[in-house]
Amino acid sequence: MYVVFSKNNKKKGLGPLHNKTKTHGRVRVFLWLFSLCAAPVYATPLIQFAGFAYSGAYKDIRMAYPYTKAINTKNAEGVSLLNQALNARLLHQHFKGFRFDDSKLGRIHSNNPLALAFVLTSENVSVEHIGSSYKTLIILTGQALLYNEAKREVVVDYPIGFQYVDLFHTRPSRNTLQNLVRKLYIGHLSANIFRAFVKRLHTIRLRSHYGHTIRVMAVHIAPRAMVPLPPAEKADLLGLKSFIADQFSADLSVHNRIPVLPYMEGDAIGNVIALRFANGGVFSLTVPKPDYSLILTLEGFKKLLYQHGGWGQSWLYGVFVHVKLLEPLSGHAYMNAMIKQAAIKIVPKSQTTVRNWPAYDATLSSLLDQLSVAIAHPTRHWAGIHMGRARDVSQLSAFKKVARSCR
Amino acid sequence: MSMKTVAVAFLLCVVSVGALAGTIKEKGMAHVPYRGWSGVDAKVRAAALKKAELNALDRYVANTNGAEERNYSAIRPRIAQHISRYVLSTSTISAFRDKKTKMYTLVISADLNVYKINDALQANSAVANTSQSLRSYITFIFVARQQSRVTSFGKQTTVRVAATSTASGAMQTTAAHSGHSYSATNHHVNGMDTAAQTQNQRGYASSHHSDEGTHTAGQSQSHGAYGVSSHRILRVTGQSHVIRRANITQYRVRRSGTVNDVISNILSQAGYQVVDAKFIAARTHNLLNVAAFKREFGRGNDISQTTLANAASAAQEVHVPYLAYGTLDVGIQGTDPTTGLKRVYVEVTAKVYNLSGVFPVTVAAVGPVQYAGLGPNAAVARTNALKRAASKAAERLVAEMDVKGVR
Repeated sequence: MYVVFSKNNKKKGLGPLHNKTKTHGRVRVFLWLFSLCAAPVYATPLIQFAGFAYSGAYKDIRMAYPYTKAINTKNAEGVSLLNQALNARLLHQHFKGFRFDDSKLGRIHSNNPLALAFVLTSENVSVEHIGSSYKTLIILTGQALLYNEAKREVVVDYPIGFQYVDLFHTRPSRNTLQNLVRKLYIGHLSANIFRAFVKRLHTIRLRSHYGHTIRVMAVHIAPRAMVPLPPAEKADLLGLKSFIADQFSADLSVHNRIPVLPYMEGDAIGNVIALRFANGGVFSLTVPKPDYSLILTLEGFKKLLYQHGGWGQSWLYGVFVHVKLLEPLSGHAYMNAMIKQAAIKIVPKSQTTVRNWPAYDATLSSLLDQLSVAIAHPTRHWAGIHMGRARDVSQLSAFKKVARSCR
Repeated sequence: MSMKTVAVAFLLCVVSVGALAGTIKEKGMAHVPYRGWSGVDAKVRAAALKKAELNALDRYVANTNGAEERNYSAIRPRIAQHISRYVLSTSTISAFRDKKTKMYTLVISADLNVYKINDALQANSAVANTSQSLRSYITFIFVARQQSRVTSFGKQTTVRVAATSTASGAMQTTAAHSGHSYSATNHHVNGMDTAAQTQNQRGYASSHHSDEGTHTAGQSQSHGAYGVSSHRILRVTGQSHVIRRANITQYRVRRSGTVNDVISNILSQAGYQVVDAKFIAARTHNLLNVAAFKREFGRGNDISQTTLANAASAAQEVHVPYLAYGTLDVGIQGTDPTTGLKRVYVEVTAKVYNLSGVFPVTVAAVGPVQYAGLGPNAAVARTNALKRAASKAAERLVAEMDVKGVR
C-alpha cells in the first residue's frame, strides 16, 4: 500500500506532516477493519462438546459394549452417568488447541458447526486362569472425534487406546467386573480412560485446514493365522480385525502425533458411521476418503521352545503382520513389508496348563506399538531385526514422510 | 506504522477471507512422460500439475448427473484455460516416476470452488440459456399415499391322498380324497394328522414323511405306513401342493403440501415457470381434478385414463406445455438396525409429458425408486423420506429435461 500526497492538499497549504498524520489514522482504521476479518485465523477455535457416544450399529451396541452399557444409567434429569463424568472432567480444563463452548456443554446448537465427541469403539473384558490366580484384562478403545455438525462429516479423529490388567485370587463375578469397568470410567484410579481422553485433548491443536488423511482400510487374517486362534476369537473375527485396526491407529496417532480416520469395516455402509450418543441422539457421520490407505494382514503365529531346565521352560511366541501403505488412486506403495515380533514367555514347572493366545495377543499388541515408534524414528537396526533387512529402513522412512504430511 | 506491518496484516486478511469460501476436496491424478536420465524437469512437473487439476475437476463432475456432465463437456476447454478460478489450492499426495516406462505420476488433493463450478455448469444448461419470457410453463401433480394396514398370509398346503388298507376284514378301503386342506401349522412330520385320527378310517400322508418319501418344492409324493389303530396298517400315497397368497394392503392418501413445496422449489430454481395445478383446475372448471388423482391413487395403483387425459387436456387448454405427474408410496415404519431410529421407505415414480404435440409425449421419467427417511419417531421419519424422495425425483426430472433441451 502506498500513500500519495494529494496535489489539492498542497494547494491548501497543509504541510506534509499534517498529511502524514491523517494517512496514518486512515491506515489504522483500515487495519482495524481488516483485523476483524483476520480474527478467525488467529482466535482459538471454539467447539462444542457432543458427549459420550458408542460407535457401531444400534443392534450390536448391547452386545459390543455390555459392561459400559450396563453402568451408563441415566439420572432423574435424563443425563447419563458417563456424560456427567465427562462434563465434570472437562469443565475446568483449559486446552491450548481449542476452547469448549461452555454455555451449552453437552448440547449441540447451530451457531458453531464443529463438535467433539468421545466415541467408544471397542470394549474387551477377559479373565484368564493362571495357576491359582485370575488375570483380568480390560481393553477399552475410543476416539476423540471432531466432526462438522452441519455437514455431518468427520473432520479429524484421534484414537485412544487403554488397557488395564488386574489379578484376583478367585474368579471375578460379573458384578466385580462391572464395578471394575465403572472405576475405569468414573473412579479415581490412575487408570481412567476419561483421564487418557483429556490428556489426549491437551496434545491436540485444531487447525482451520488439515494436511492429508490416513486410515486403516482393511485388516485381513490369513488362513494359517486362524489355526492358533481360540474359539472365541474365531467366532468374532470382525472384533479381532477391529482390535488390530484400532490398536494400530491409536499407536500411530500417539507416536507420530497425527490424526487417523476411524476404521470402519463391518460398521459402516457407504463410508458412513453411526454414532449413538448416551443422551439418545443419533448421528450418521460421513467419513471422508483417506489420502493414504493402510492394509494390515495378520500372516501367522509361531511358537518355539527357547530354553528349558529344572525351573521350567521358556517359549518364544512370534507374530507376523504384513503392512502395506499405499496411495489408493495411483496404487503407489510406500511400504509393503512383513513385520515380525517375538516375546518370551516363561512357563514355570508348577504351571500345568499353558494358554497360547494371551501370549500371542500381547506380542501382537507389542508389534503394533513398536512399529508405530519405528515409523516415527526409523533405524537400520530395528529394520534389520523386525523386517529382515536393514535396507528396508527406507520403507519406514517413506512411511514417516507420509505421516508428517498428515499433520 | 511500518509498511511491513501493513503488508503482513493485509496478507493475513486475504488468507482469512479465502478460508471462508465454499470448497470441496477432490483428488486428481496425471501421468506425464518425461525424457532424459537426469530426472523430471520443471516443465514436466508443471504440465502434470495442470493435468492433475483438470482431472480433479473431471472427477468432481463425474459424481454429479448426466446433464451436468454434458454441460461440463461443452465448456471443459474454457474451464481448462482458466483453471485457477475453479481450483483454489492443491497439495501433493504422491509424486513418483517410473524409470522403465519414463512416466511421471502425480496425485494431488485439490480444493475446488464449488460455487464457481456449479455456476459455470448451470449457465450452460438449456433453460438457463433461454430468456425469461421464452421459458416454458410447467405444472405438476404429485400424490402420496401411506400403507395403513397390511394383512399377510402364511403357507397353505393342500394334500390329496389315496389310502388303502393292507389288513383284511374290518378295515375299510377309502377312496381317493382330494381337496382337503389345512394350514402348515397342522402339518406333522412322520405323523398322522389329528383330523385323520378322529376320522379313524382314513389315512393322511404327511408331505414331509421321511421313510420312503421324496419331497420337492410345491408338490410331493410320499409313501408311508401309518398306524390307524394298534393292529391296522394303512398304506397311503399322496400329493401335496403349497399355496402362497399375496398380502392385502390398504392405503390412506396423505396431504402433499410438503411434497409440492419441495418440487415447486426445485423446478423454479432450475428456471422453469411453475404453475400451481389448482390455478389450472380453476381456469378449466375442474377439468384437471386433483381430488380425482388422490381418490384413485388411494384405491389402486393406477390413475384412470380419463383423469390423466383430462389433466392433459386442461393443461393444453391454458397453454401449459409441460405436465409432471408423480406418485409417492409411503411404507410401514420399521427400526433402522444401524442407528436405532425409526425408518420409513418411500417409493416414487414420476413422469413429465410434453403436451405441445398431437399426443402427450413423455420427455422425462423417474422410478420406481425407493428412498428411506430416518427420525426419532415415525412422523419425522415419514416427512424426511417424503422430502428426500420428492427432491431426488424432481432433480432427476430436471436433469433429464435439460438433456432433452426442454426450456
